Amino acid sequence: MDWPRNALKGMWANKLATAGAMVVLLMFAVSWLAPVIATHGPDDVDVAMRLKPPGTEGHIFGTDRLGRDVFSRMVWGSRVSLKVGFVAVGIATLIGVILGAIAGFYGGILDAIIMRFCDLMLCFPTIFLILAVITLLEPSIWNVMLVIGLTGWMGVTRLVRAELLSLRGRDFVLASKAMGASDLRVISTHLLPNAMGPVIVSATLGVAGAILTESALSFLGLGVQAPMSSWGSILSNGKNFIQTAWWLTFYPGLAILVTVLSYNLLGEGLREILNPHRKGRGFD
Amino acid sequence: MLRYTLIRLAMMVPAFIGITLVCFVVLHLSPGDPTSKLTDLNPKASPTYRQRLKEIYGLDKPLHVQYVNWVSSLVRLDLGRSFALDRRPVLDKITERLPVTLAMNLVSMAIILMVSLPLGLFAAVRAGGAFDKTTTVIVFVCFAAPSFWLALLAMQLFGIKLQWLPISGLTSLGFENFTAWGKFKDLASHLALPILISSLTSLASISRYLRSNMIDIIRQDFLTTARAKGLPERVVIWKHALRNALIPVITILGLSVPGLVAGSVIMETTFAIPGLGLLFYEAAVQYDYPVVMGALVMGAVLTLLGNLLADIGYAIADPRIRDQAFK
Repeated sequence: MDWPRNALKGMWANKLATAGAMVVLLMFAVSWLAPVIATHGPDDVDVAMRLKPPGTEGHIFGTDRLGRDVFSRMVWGSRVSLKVGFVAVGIATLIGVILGAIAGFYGGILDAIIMRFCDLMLCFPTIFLILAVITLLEPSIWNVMLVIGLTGWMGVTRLVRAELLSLRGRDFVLASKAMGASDLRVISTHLLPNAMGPVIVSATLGVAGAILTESALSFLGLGVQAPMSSWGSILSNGKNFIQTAWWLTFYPGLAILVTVLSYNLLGEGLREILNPHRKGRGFD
Repeated sequence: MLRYTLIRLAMMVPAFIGITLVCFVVLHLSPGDPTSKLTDLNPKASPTYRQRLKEIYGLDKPLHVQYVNWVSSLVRLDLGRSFALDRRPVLDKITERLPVTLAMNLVSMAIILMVSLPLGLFAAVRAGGAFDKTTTVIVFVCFAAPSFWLALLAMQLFGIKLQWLPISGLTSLGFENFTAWGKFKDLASHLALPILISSLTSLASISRYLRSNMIDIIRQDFLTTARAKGLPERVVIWKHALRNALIPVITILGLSVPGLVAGSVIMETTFAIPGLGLLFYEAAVQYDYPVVMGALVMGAVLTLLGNLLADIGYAIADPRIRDQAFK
């Protein structure tokens, strides 16, 4: 197992991916240290300080219509983005790996059923499906995670299935079967570890996608509910003040952009590192 | 070719049944029934009223009966009536909104093709060069930027600061009295921002895809042969390589349909454009369950049609596909 060290070496060679990784780590730190970093309470209303531009009396990113500090709300909001990204992708990856492993390992009718179901789910515009479910459930951060996770497993399923299809006939698999290993053991200890590279890449890119979806839902008012704040919901509140208070929309959007960009860069970098055959397909 | 098209059409039937099943299951497995949102908020709703509502919408029957009823009215294009105050048929609501969304997405697609093709090609031909690096960065940024944020920024710049374009709606006041050219200009100025911004994300992914595709093709033997027999580089790239790189783009265009349709929810809501996306959003917020069901099916059917067109286009472009597909 010397790939972690090689991976680290490759990482240094790939400056953009390293930059992405740094920002991702920084975001972790910010959301973990939110109470320390935030200059104000995220929900502290100060009517005298309504809609003040950035830099007014210690409000780095200005204040919103209730005089709340935008910077502090964003710092606390980073927890929502992080949580949604990881929980949603965790759900999607778990479902995807299980279904993909079943389809790829057993083949035949099970494979056909799972793949047709996959194709079907890909027909639905994700936001449509999510909106439909949110109509019936109460909008909340947990439902948002659940729904994003339940509608995002198709890519992983296809990846894992493809990897297992190409691996299942190899000699090492036959050998372990001949030694009497159960299907579960063959899949979990011999096949899945070999298929993990693409899954890690797709999960990293998936976090970016989930953060974007969450912010879009919160922007539409169907995600995180007040008084909790996420970047999307701050933006959504700022929508009504674009003529007077640009900072309410500019900074949260920028935060989403930088975070999503970092996860994407990290994911593309990992793709290069974990799959040396694909040289020259990502950024060079 | 006809045989291919017919088989491909027949394959849509099970897909359609699957789509209706998923829609139905999604909306019925969620806790709370469609009428509860309507009655829970209404203090005047008595238990008998609730019961009557359920009977009207057939919600008191067993699930499989409900499903069969719904699908059989669906194939007769009867999507039921909206829960909203106007109680209009869902189909009318959808068909009056559909043209706007369709037109916007078609124009988006045309723009995506026209811009991403040259972008991807130039980047691939000089992979690693300055142009390639610059476009890579731009593409990554476009891909990561939330579209609604770009929309708000564009509104601030072009709508409020520069006053070049209107920031919401589809038409200006007094639209009916404009000349044909004036009507066109008015529509175009209203739709310019939403169309451009919704194109950006797909533009990024497709130009990226085309680039990596083209890089693979440039390394292939038949291009070396073409160069070896003395063809100018221009012909090698623009004729021999481009044709082969174009084929998978057709599929990608088909696959980007759900993204565009989904994006229309956000764009239309942000710019207040009365299309399918806005209809769907309004229905979702008002718990207008028949409209949600209808729009969900419609969105999936649009995607299915997009995939069908992509497959047929693929078969026209590449004879190997239509010969091999159903052997």
